[in-house]
Amino acid sequence: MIRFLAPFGAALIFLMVWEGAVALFSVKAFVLPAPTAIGASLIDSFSDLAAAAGHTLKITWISLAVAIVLSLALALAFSAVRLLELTFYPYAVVLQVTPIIAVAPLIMIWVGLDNVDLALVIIATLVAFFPLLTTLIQGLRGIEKNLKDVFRLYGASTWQTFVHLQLPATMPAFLSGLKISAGLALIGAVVAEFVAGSGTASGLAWTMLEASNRLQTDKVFAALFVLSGLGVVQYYLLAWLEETLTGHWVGK
Amino acid sequence: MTPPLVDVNQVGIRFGSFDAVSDVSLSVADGEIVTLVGPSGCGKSSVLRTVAGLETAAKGRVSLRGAAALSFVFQDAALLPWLTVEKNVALPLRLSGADGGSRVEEALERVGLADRPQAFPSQLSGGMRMRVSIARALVSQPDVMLMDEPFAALDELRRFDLAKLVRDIAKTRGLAVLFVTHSVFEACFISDRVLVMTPRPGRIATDITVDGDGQRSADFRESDAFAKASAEVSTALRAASFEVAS
Repeated sequence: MIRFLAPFGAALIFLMVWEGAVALFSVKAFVLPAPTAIGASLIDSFSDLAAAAGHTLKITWISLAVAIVLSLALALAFSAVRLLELTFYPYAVVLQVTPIIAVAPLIMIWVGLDNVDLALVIIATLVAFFPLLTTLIQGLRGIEKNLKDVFRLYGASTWQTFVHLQLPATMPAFLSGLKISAGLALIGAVVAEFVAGSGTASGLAWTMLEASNRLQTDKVFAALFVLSGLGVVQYYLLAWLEETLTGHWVGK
Repeated sequence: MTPPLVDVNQVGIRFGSFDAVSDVSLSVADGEIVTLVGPSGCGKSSVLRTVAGLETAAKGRVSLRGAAALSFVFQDAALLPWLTVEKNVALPLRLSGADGGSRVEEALERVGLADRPQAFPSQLSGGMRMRVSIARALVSQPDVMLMDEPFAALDELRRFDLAKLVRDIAKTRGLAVLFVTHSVFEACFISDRVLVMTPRPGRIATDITVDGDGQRSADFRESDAFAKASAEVSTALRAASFEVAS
Protein backbone atom coordinates (compact mmCIF):
# COMPACT_ATOMS: atom_id res chain seq x y z
CA MET A 1 0.00 0.00 0.00
CA ILE A 2 2.81 2.38 0.96
CA ARG A 3 4.23 1.66 -2.49
CA PHE A 4 1.27 3.54 -4.01
CA LEU A 5 0.59 6.04 -1.26
CA ALA A 6 4.13 7.40 -0.99
CA PRO A 7 4.62 8.53 -4.62
CA PHE A 8 0.99 9.68 -4.80
CA GLY A 9 1.37 11.74 -1.63
CA ALA A 10 4.61 13.28 -2.92
CA ALA A 11 2.83 14.29 -6.14
CA LEU A 12 -0.02 15.84 -4.16
CA ILE A 13 2.35 17.92 -2.03
CA PHE A 14 4.30 18.99 -5.11
CA LEU A 15 1.12 20.11 -6.90
CA MET A 16 -0.08 22.03 -3.84
CA VAL A 17 3.22 23.88 -3.53
CA TRP A 18 3.09 24.61 -7.26
CA GLU A 19 -0.47 25.91 -7.04
CA GLY A 20 0.37 28.04 -4.01
CA ALA A 21 3.54 29.46 -5.58
CA VAL A 22 1.75 30.45 -8.79
CA ALA A 23 -0.92 32.26 -6.77
CA LEU A 24 1.54 33.82 -4.31
CA PHE A 25 3.93 35.23 -6.91
CA SER A 26 1.20 35.98 -9.51
CA VAL A 27 3.05 34.02 -12.18
CA LYS A 28 1.67 34.67 -15.67
CA ALA A 29 -0.35 31.75 -17.00
CA PHE A 30 1.64 31.60 -20.28
CA VAL A 31 4.85 31.19 -18.28
CA LEU A 32 3.66 28.64 -15.74
CA PRO A 33 -0.02 27.82 -15.41
CA ALA A 34 -1.36 26.52 -12.10
CA PRO A 35 -2.12 22.78 -11.86
CA THR A 36 -5.84 23.57 -11.64
CA ALA A 37 -5.62 25.53 -14.89
CA ILE A 38 -3.84 22.60 -16.53
CA GLY A 39 -6.55 20.29 -15.21
CA ALA A 40 -9.23 22.56 -16.67
CA SER A 41 -7.43 22.61 -20.00
CA LEU A 42 -7.15 18.84 -19.89
CA ILE A 43 -10.93 18.61 -19.55
CA ASP A 44 -11.67 21.34 -22.10
CA SER A 45 -9.50 19.94 -24.86
CA PHE A 46 -10.10 16.32 -23.94
CA SER A 47 -11.40 15.24 -27.35
CA ASP A 48 -8.50 17.02 -29.11
CA LEU A 49 -5.97 15.41 -26.83
CA ALA A 50 -7.56 11.98 -27.05
CA ALA A 51 -7.50 12.07 -30.85
CA ALA A 52 -3.88 13.25 -30.85
CA ALA A 53 -2.91 10.58 -28.31
CA GLY A 54 -4.66 7.96 -30.44
CA HIS A 55 -2.61 9.02 -33.43
CA THR A 56 0.68 8.99 -31.53
CA LEU A 57 -0.12 5.60 -30.04
CA LYS A 58 -0.98 4.22 -33.46
CA ILE A 59 2.41 5.31 -34.81
CA THR A 60 4.12 3.95 -31.69
CA TRP A 61 2.55 0.53 -31.87
CA ILE A 62 2.94 0.09 -35.61
CA SER A 63 6.62 0.99 -35.19
CA LEU A 64 6.95 -1.40 -32.29
CA ALA A 65 5.39 -4.21 -34.32
CA VAL A 66 7.75 -3.54 -37.24
CA ALA A 67 10.70 -3.39 -34.82
CA ILE A 68 9.69 -6.74 -33.28
CA VAL A 69 9.49 -8.51 -36.64
CA LEU A 70 12.74 -6.94 -37.87
CA SER A 71 14.72 -7.63 -34.72
CA LEU A 72 13.46 -11.18 -34.43
CA ALA A 73 14.40 -11.93 -38.03
CA LEU A 74 17.82 -10.35 -37.61
CA ALA A 75 18.50 -11.98 -34.25
CA LEU A 76 17.67 -15.40 -35.68
CA ALA A 77 19.83 -14.79 -38.73
CA PHE A 78 22.69 -13.55 -36.52
CA SER A 79 22.48 -16.52 -34.19
CA ALA A 80 22.35 -18.95 -37.09
CA VAL A 81 25.17 -17.44 -39.17
CA ARG A 82 28.01 -15.96 -37.16
CA LEU A 83 29.46 -14.18 -40.20
CA LEU A 84 26.22 -12.20 -40.62
CA GLU A 85 26.46 -11.01 -37.04
CA LEU A 86 30.12 -10.07 -37.35
CA THR A 87 29.37 -8.17 -40.56
CA PHE A 88 26.21 -6.30 -39.67
CA TYR A 89 26.08 -5.93 -35.90
CA PRO A 90 28.47 -2.93 -35.96
CA TYR A 91 26.03 -1.15 -38.26
CA ALA A 92 23.21 -1.81 -35.85
CA VAL A 93 25.38 -0.15 -33.20
CA VAL A 94 26.07 2.80 -35.51
CA LEU A 95 22.34 3.14 -36.01
CA GLN A 96 21.82 3.08 -32.28
CA VAL A 97 24.43 5.66 -31.33
CA THR A 98 23.52 8.15 -34.06
CA PRO A 99 21.06 10.60 -32.53
CA ILE A 100 17.79 9.98 -34.27
CA ILE A 101 17.01 13.67 -34.31
CA ALA A 102 19.95 14.11 -36.67
CA VAL A 103 18.70 11.49 -39.09
CA ALA A 104 15.04 12.44 -38.92
CA PRO A 105 15.26 15.41 -41.33
CA LEU A 106 16.75 13.14 -44.00
CA ILE A 107 13.97 10.63 -43.62
CA MET A 108 11.50 13.48 -43.78
CA ILE A 109 12.98 14.59 -47.07
CA TRP A 110 13.07 11.07 -48.53
CA VAL A 111 9.61 9.84 -47.57
CA GLY A 112 7.99 12.43 -45.33
CA LEU A 113 6.99 14.86 -48.05
CA ASP A 114 4.56 12.39 -49.57
CA ASN A 115 3.71 10.35 -46.53
CA VAL A 116 4.33 11.82 -43.09
CA ASP A 117 3.01 8.81 -41.18
CA LEU A 118 5.38 6.47 -43.00
CA ALA A 119 8.30 8.72 -42.08
CA LEU A 120 7.13 8.77 -38.46
CA VAL A 121 6.95 4.98 -38.40
CA ILE A 122 10.44 4.63 -39.89
CA ILE A 123 11.96 7.01 -37.35
CA ALA A 124 10.21 5.43 -34.36
CA THR A 125 11.13 1.94 -35.59
CA LEU A 126 14.80 2.91 -35.84
CA VAL A 127 14.75 4.03 -32.22
CA ALA A 128 12.82 1.05 -30.88
CA PHE A 129 14.69 -1.60 -32.79
CA PHE A 130 18.06 -1.82 -31.07
CA PRO A 131 17.17 -2.88 -27.50
CA LEU A 132 14.99 -5.61 -28.92
CA LEU A 133 17.76 -6.84 -31.18
CA THR A 134 20.34 -7.01 -28.38
CA THR A 135 18.04 -8.66 -25.86
CA LEU A 136 16.88 -11.19 -28.44
CA ILE A 137 20.45 -12.04 -29.44
CA GLN A 138 21.34 -12.48 -25.77
CA GLY A 139 18.23 -14.58 -25.21
CA LEU A 140 19.04 -16.87 -28.12
CA ARG A 141 22.66 -17.20 -27.06
CA GLY A 142 21.71 -17.87 -23.47
CA ILE A 143 19.73 -21.01 -24.24
CA GLU A 144 21.26 -23.79 -22.16
CA LYS A 145 23.33 -26.28 -24.08
CA ASN A 146 21.58 -29.15 -22.34
CA LEU A 147 18.20 -27.96 -23.58
CA LYS A 148 19.51 -27.77 -27.13
CA ASP A 149 20.91 -31.28 -26.69
CA VAL A 150 17.52 -32.55 -25.54
CA PHE A 151 16.01 -31.29 -28.79
CA ARG A 152 18.83 -32.75 -30.89
CA LEU A 153 18.53 -36.06 -29.09
CA TYR A 154 14.85 -36.39 -29.84
CA GLY A 155 15.41 -35.46 -33.47
CA ALA A 156 13.59 -32.13 -33.41
CA SER A 157 13.40 -30.33 -36.75
CA THR A 158 14.65 -26.77 -37.16
CA TRP A 159 11.07 -25.56 -37.07
CA GLN A 160 10.24 -27.55 -33.92
CA THR A 161 13.36 -26.22 -32.23
CA PHE A 162 12.33 -22.70 -33.17
CA VAL A 163 8.75 -23.00 -31.97
CA HIS A 164 9.24 -25.16 -28.89
CA LEU A 165 12.66 -24.00 -27.69
CA GLN A 166 14.03 -20.79 -29.17
CA LEU A 167 10.86 -18.71 -29.13
CA PRO A 168 9.77 -19.54 -25.58
CA ALA A 169 13.33 -19.49 -24.23
CA THR A 170 13.88 -15.93 -25.46
CA MET A 171 10.54 -14.77 -24.06
CA PRO A 172 11.90 -13.26 -20.80
CA ALA A 173 14.66 -11.38 -22.61
CA PHE A 174 12.22 -10.33 -25.31
CA LEU A 175 9.68 -8.99 -22.83
CA SER A 176 12.23 -6.97 -20.91
CA GLY A 177 13.55 -5.61 -24.20
CA LEU A 178 9.98 -4.81 -25.19
CA LYS A 179 9.45 -2.66 -22.09
CA ILE A 180 12.44 -0.52 -23.08
CA SER A 181 11.61 -0.49 -26.77
CA ALA A 182 7.98 0.48 -26.23
CA GLY A 183 9.10 3.56 -24.31
CA LEU A 184 11.64 4.38 -27.00
CA ALA A 185 9.07 3.92 -29.77
CA LEU A 186 6.87 6.48 -28.05
CA ILE A 187 9.81 8.89 -27.76
CA GLY A 188 10.70 8.19 -31.39
CA ALA A 189 7.16 8.90 -32.53
CA VAL A 190 7.11 12.20 -30.63
CA VAL A 191 10.55 13.28 -31.86
CA ALA A 192 9.52 12.45 -35.41
CA GLU A 193 6.39 14.57 -35.05
CA PHE A 194 8.47 17.49 -33.80
CA VAL A 195 10.76 17.18 -36.79
CA ALA A 196 7.81 16.91 -39.14
CA GLY A 197 6.58 20.11 -37.51
CA SER A 198 3.27 21.56 -38.54
CA GLY A 199 1.55 20.24 -41.59
CA THR A 200 -0.26 17.00 -41.84
CA ALA A 201 1.04 15.49 -38.59
CA SER A 202 -1.65 15.29 -35.96
CA GLY A 203 -0.22 13.58 -32.87
CA LEU A 204 0.52 14.81 -29.37
CA ALA A 205 3.81 16.48 -30.25
CA TRP A 206 2.12 18.47 -32.94
CA THR A 207 -0.60 19.47 -30.45
CA MET A 208 2.12 20.71 -28.10
CA LEU A 209 3.91 22.64 -30.86
CA GLU A 210 0.72 24.28 -31.94
CA ALA A 211 -0.33 25.13 -28.40
CA SER A 212 3.07 26.60 -27.60
CA ASN A 213 2.98 28.73 -30.74
CA ARG A 214 -0.28 30.16 -29.45
CA LEU A 215 1.15 30.55 -25.93
CA GLN A 216 -1.47 28.11 -24.60
CA THR A 217 0.96 26.88 -22.00
CA ASP A 218 -1.75 25.11 -20.03
CA LYS A 219 -2.54 22.98 -23.08
CA VAL A 220 1.16 22.22 -23.59
CA PHE A 221 1.25 20.91 -20.04
CA ALA A 222 -1.98 18.99 -20.53
CA ALA A 223 -0.55 17.26 -23.62
CA LEU A 224 2.69 16.59 -21.78
CA PHE A 225 0.71 15.02 -18.95
CA VAL A 226 -1.17 12.78 -21.39
CA LEU A 227 2.10 11.83 -23.07
CA SER A 228 3.89 10.73 -19.92
CA GLY A 229 0.67 9.06 -18.75
CA LEU A 230 0.69 6.97 -21.92
CA GLY A 231 4.31 6.02 -21.37
CA VAL A 232 3.65 4.96 -17.79
CA VAL A 233 0.51 2.97 -18.60
CA GLN A 234 2.28 1.28 -21.50
CA TYR A 235 5.22 0.34 -19.27
CA TYR A 236 3.08 -1.16 -16.53
CA LEU A 237 0.94 -3.05 -19.03
CA LEU A 238 4.07 -4.66 -20.43
CA ALA A 239 5.42 -5.34 -16.94
CA TRP A 240 2.13 -7.04 -16.13
CA LEU A 241 2.33 -9.04 -19.35
CA GLU A 242 5.88 -10.09 -18.45
CA GLU A 243 4.80 -11.23 -15.00
CA THR A 244 1.79 -13.11 -16.37
CA LEU A 245 3.68 -14.86 -19.13
CA THR A 246 6.96 -15.68 -17.43
CA GLY A 247 6.37 -15.19 -13.69
CA HIS A 248 5.95 -18.89 -12.98
CA TRP A 249 9.29 -19.74 -14.64
CA VAL A 250 11.26 -18.43 -11.75
CA GLY A 251 8.82 -19.56 -9.13
CA LYS A 252 7.25 -16.50 -7.58
CA MET B 1 24.15 -65.41 -27.62
CA THR B 2 22.50 -62.02 -28.17
CA PRO B 3 24.98 -59.24 -28.82
CA PRO B 4 25.06 -56.42 -26.22
CA LEU B 5 22.61 -53.55 -26.57
CA VAL B 6 25.41 -51.00 -26.61
CA ASP B 7 28.80 -51.82 -28.03
CA VAL B 8 31.55 -49.23 -27.94
CA ASN B 9 34.56 -50.43 -29.87
CA GLN B 10 37.97 -48.73 -29.57
CA VAL B 11 36.48 -45.27 -29.63
CA GLY B 12 38.72 -42.20 -29.58
CA ILE B 13 37.35 -38.68 -29.19
CA ARG B 14 39.22 -35.52 -30.12
CA PHE B 15 38.40 -31.89 -29.37
CA GLY B 16 40.38 -29.75 -31.76
CA SER B 17 43.99 -30.71 -31.26
CA PHE B 18 43.82 -32.69 -28.04
CA ASP B 19 42.65 -36.21 -27.35
CA ALA B 20 39.81 -36.32 -24.84
CA VAL B 21 39.40 -40.06 -24.95
CA SER B 22 41.70 -42.67 -26.39
CA ASP B 23 40.65 -46.18 -27.20
CA VAL B 24 37.59 -46.92 -25.07
CA SER B 25 35.78 -50.22 -25.48
CA LEU B 26 32.77 -51.22 -23.44
CA SER B 27 29.45 -52.98 -23.74
CA VAL B 28 26.14 -52.86 -21.90
CA ALA B 29 23.70 -55.78 -21.93
CA ASP B 30 19.91 -55.74 -21.47
CA GLY B 31 18.98 -54.75 -17.92
CA GLU B 32 22.61 -54.10 -17.05
CA ILE B 33 23.81 -50.98 -15.30
CA VAL B 34 27.35 -49.98 -16.19
CA THR B 35 28.99 -46.95 -14.63
CA LEU B 36 31.97 -44.92 -15.78
CA VAL B 37 33.96 -43.33 -12.98
CA GLY B 38 37.12 -41.32 -13.27
CA PRO B 39 38.74 -38.01 -12.40
CA SER B 40 37.22 -34.76 -13.71
CA GLY B 41 37.97 -34.19 -17.36
CA CYS B 42 38.81 -37.81 -18.13
CA GLY B 43 36.23 -37.85 -20.90
CA LYS B 44 33.55 -39.99 -19.28
CA SER B 45 30.81 -37.58 -20.30
CA SER B 46 32.25 -37.43 -23.79
CA VAL B 47 31.94 -41.20 -24.09
CA LEU B 48 28.30 -40.93 -23.07
CA ARG B 49 27.63 -38.10 -25.51
CA THR B 50 29.29 -40.06 -28.29
CA VAL B 51 27.04 -43.05 -27.61
CA ALA B 52 24.08 -40.63 -27.77
CA GLY B 53 25.30 -39.25 -31.09
CA LEU B 54 25.82 -35.76 -29.64
CA GLU B 55 29.55 -36.01 -30.38
CA THR B 56 31.30 -37.85 -33.18
CA ALA B 57 34.03 -40.36 -32.53
CA ALA B 58 37.34 -39.57 -34.21
CA LYS B 59 38.03 -43.27 -34.44
CA GLY B 60 36.39 -46.53 -33.48
CA ARG B 61 32.73 -47.34 -33.62
CA VAL B 62 29.59 -47.19 -31.50
CA SER B 63 26.93 -49.73 -32.36
CA LEU B 64 23.49 -50.30 -30.96
CA ARG B 65 21.70 -53.61 -31.38
CA GLY B 66 18.83 -53.44 -33.86
CA ALA B 67 16.91 -50.19 -33.70
CA ALA B 68 17.58 -49.68 -30.00
CA ALA B 69 16.07 -46.42 -28.77
CA LEU B 70 18.18 -44.12 -26.58
CA SER B 71 17.31 -41.58 -23.97
CA PHE B 72 19.55 -39.23 -22.05
CA VAL B 73 19.36 -37.73 -18.56
CA PHE B 74 21.41 -34.58 -18.03
CA GLN B 75 23.06 -33.37 -14.87
CA ASP B 76 20.79 -30.40 -14.20
CA ALA B 77 17.52 -32.10 -15.24
CA ALA B 78 17.34 -29.87 -18.36
CA LEU B 79 13.63 -29.18 -18.09
CA LEU B 80 11.85 -26.45 -20.03
CA PRO B 81 10.88 -23.90 -17.36
CA TRP B 82 7.81 -22.69 -19.28
CA LEU B 83 6.17 -26.11 -19.43
CA THR B 84 4.36 -28.01 -16.71
CA VAL B 85 5.71 -31.31 -15.42
CA GLU B 86 3.26 -33.20 -17.62
CA LYS B 87 4.21 -31.29 -20.77
CA ASN B 88 7.93 -31.61 -20.06
CA VAL B 89 7.53 -35.37 -19.81
CA ALA B 90 5.47 -35.42 -23.01
CA LEU B 91 8.13 -33.48 -24.98
CA PRO B 92 9.81 -36.47 -26.69
CA LEU B 93 6.40 -37.75 -27.82
CA ARG B 94 5.38 -34.32 -29.04
CA LEU B 95 8.60 -33.91 -31.05
CA SER B 96 8.23 -37.30 -32.69
CA GLY B 97 4.53 -36.77 -33.33
CA ALA B 98 3.63 -39.83 -31.25
CA ASP B 99 0.41 -40.05 -29.31
CA GLY B 100 1.11 -39.53 -25.61
CA GLY B 101 -2.08 -40.75 -24.00
CA SER B 102 -1.46 -42.82 -20.92
CA ARG B 103 2.31 -43.03 -21.34
CA VAL B 104 3.00 -39.68 -19.69
CA GLU B 105 0.83 -40.61 -16.74
CA GLU B 106 2.50 -43.98 -16.50
CA ALA B 107 6.00 -42.47 -16.54
CA LEU B 108 5.06 -39.96 -13.85
CA GLU B 109 3.56 -42.75 -11.80
CA ARG B 110 6.79 -44.71 -12.11
CA VAL B 111 8.92 -41.92 -10.68
CA GLY B 112 6.41 -41.10 -7.94
CA LEU B 113 5.18 -37.79 -9.29
CA ALA B 114 1.69 -38.72 -10.45
CA ASP B 115 0.19 -36.09 -8.14
CA ARG B 116 2.07 -33.08 -9.56
CA PRO B 117 1.39 -33.07 -13.32
CA GLN B 118 0.45 -29.36 -13.41
CA ALA B 119 3.40 -28.05 -11.38
CA PHE B 120 6.10 -25.98 -13.03
CA PRO B 121 9.76 -27.01 -12.60
CA SER B 122 10.44 -23.90 -10.50
CA GLN B 123 7.93 -25.14 -7.93
CA LEU B 124 9.75 -28.45 -7.44
CA SER B 125 12.82 -29.42 -5.42
CA GLY B 126 16.00 -30.54 -7.16
CA GLY B 127 15.21 -34.19 -6.48
CA MET B 128 11.71 -33.86 -7.89
CA ARG B 129 13.00 -32.09 -11.00
CA MET B 130 15.36 -35.01 -11.55
CA ARG B 131 12.43 -37.39 -11.22
CA VAL B 132 10.63 -35.44 -13.94
CA SER B 133 13.73 -35.69 -16.09
CA ILE B 134 13.84 -39.46 -15.58
CA ALA B 135 10.13 -39.69 -16.45
CA ARG B 136 10.84 -37.77 -19.66
CA ALA B 137 13.62 -40.23 -20.48
CA LEU B 138 11.27 -43.16 -19.86
CA VAL B 139 8.29 -41.88 -21.82
CA SER B 140 9.75 -42.74 -25.21
CA GLN B 141 10.17 -46.33 -23.96
CA PRO B 142 13.90 -46.53 -24.58
CA ASP B 143 16.08 -49.63 -24.58
CA VAL B 144 19.10 -47.70 -23.36
CA MET B 145 19.23 -44.85 -20.86
CA LEU B 146 22.36 -42.71 -20.71
CA MET B 147 22.81 -40.72 -17.51
CA ASP B 148 25.42 -37.98 -17.17
CA GLU B 149 26.09 -37.31 -13.46
CA PRO B 150 22.36 -36.97 -12.96
CA PHE B 151 22.39 -36.77 -9.15
CA ALA B 152 25.52 -34.67 -8.65
CA ALA B 153 23.58 -31.66 -7.36
CA LEU B 154 21.46 -33.63 -4.88
CA ASP B 155 22.04 -34.45 -1.23
CA GLU B 156 23.20 -37.89 -0.15
CA LEU B 157 19.78 -39.22 0.82
CA ARG B 158 18.06 -38.23 -2.42
CA ARG B 159 20.98 -39.54 -4.43
CA PHE B 160 20.52 -43.03 -3.07
CA ASP B 161 16.72 -42.85 -3.36
CA LEU B 162 17.02 -41.97 -7.01
CA ALA B 163 19.81 -44.47 -7.66
CA LYS B 164 17.55 -47.16 -6.20
CA LEU B 165 14.67 -45.96 -8.38
CA VAL B 166 16.79 -46.10 -11.54
CA ARG B 167 18.05 -49.57 -10.66
CA ASP B 168 14.51 -50.82 -9.99
CA ILE B 169 13.33 -49.49 -13.34
CA ALA B 170 16.29 -50.95 -15.21
CA LYS B 171 15.84 -54.36 -13.64
CA THR B 172 12.07 -54.57 -14.14
CA ARG B 173 12.15 -53.34 -17.74
CA GLY B 174 15.41 -54.84 -18.94
CA LEU B 175 16.63 -51.32 -19.61
CA ALA B 176 20.36 -50.95 -20.24
CA VAL B 177 21.85 -48.03 -18.32
CA LEU B 178 25.18 -46.35 -18.94
CA PHE B 179 25.81 -44.11 -15.96
CA VAL B 180 28.48 -41.48 -15.30
CA THR B 181 29.45 -40.26 -11.85
CA HIS B 182 32.51 -39.34 -9.85
CA SER B 183 31.11 -40.77 -6.63
CA VAL B 184 32.56 -44.19 -5.89
CA PHE B 185 29.72 -45.07 -3.50
CA GLU B 186 27.00 -44.07 -5.90
CA ALA B 187 28.72 -46.07 -8.63
CA CYS B 188 28.93 -49.20 -6.48
CA PHE B 189 25.37 -48.88 -5.23
CA ILE B 190 23.72 -48.55 -8.63
CA SER B 191 25.95 -50.66 -10.88
CA ASP B 192 26.43 -54.21 -11.99
CA ARG B 193 29.82 -53.18 -13.36
CA VAL B 194 32.01 -50.17 -12.69
CA LEU B 195 34.54 -49.07 -15.30
CA VAL B 196 37.37 -46.95 -13.95
CA MET B 197 38.88 -44.46 -16.39
CA THR B 198 42.31 -42.85 -16.40
CA PRO B 199 42.87 -39.06 -16.61
CA ARG B 200 42.91 -37.44 -20.03
CA PRO B 201 43.20 -38.85 -22.58
CA GLY B 202 40.80 -41.22 -20.90
CA ARG B 203 40.77 -44.93 -21.39
CA ILE B 204 39.32 -47.72 -19.30
CA ALA B 205 41.82 -48.97 -16.75
CA THR B 206 39.76 -51.48 -14.77
CA ASP B 207 36.44 -53.30 -15.11
CA ILE B 208 35.01 -54.21 -11.68
CA THR B 209 31.94 -56.39 -11.18
CA VAL B 210 29.67 -55.55 -8.23
CA ASP B 211 28.05 -58.66 -6.78
CA GLY B 212 24.36 -58.57 -5.91
CA ASP B 213 21.81 -59.15 -8.61
CA GLY B 214 18.41 -57.63 -9.10
CA GLN B 215 16.97 -54.79 -7.06
CA ARG B 216 18.87 -53.38 -4.14
CA SER B 217 17.60 -51.79 -0.95
CA ALA B 218 19.34 -49.29 1.30
CA ASP B 219 20.77 -52.26 3.24
CA PHE B 220 22.97 -53.06 0.28
CA ARG B 221 25.23 -50.24 1.42
CA GLU B 222 26.08 -52.27 4.52
CA SER B 223 26.72 -55.48 2.61
CA ASP B 224 30.09 -57.10 2.06
CA ALA B 225 29.61 -56.97 -1.70
CA PHE B 226 29.23 -53.16 -1.51
CA ALA B 227 32.25 -52.77 0.78
CA LYS B 228 34.39 -54.96 -1.40
CA ALA B 229 33.40 -53.19 -4.62
CA SER B 230 33.91 -49.72 -3.07
CA ALA B 231 37.40 -50.67 -1.92
CA GLU B 232 38.27 -52.10 -5.32
CA VAL B 233 36.99 -49.07 -7.21
CA SER B 234 38.79 -46.62 -4.89
CA THR B 235 42.05 -48.53 -5.28
CA ALA B 236 41.63 -48.72 -9.03
CA LEU B 237 40.89 -45.00 -9.24
CA ARG B 238 44.01 -44.14 -7.27
CA ALA B 239 46.10 -46.51 -9.34
CA ALA B 240 44.71 -45.11 -12.60
CA SER B 241 45.47 -41.54 -11.57
CA PHE B 242 48.95 -42.47 -10.36
CA GLU B 243 49.73 -44.34 -13.56
CA VAL B 244 49.55 -41.18 -15.60
CA ALA B 245 51.19 -38.89 -13.03
CA SER B 246 54.32 -41.06 -12.86
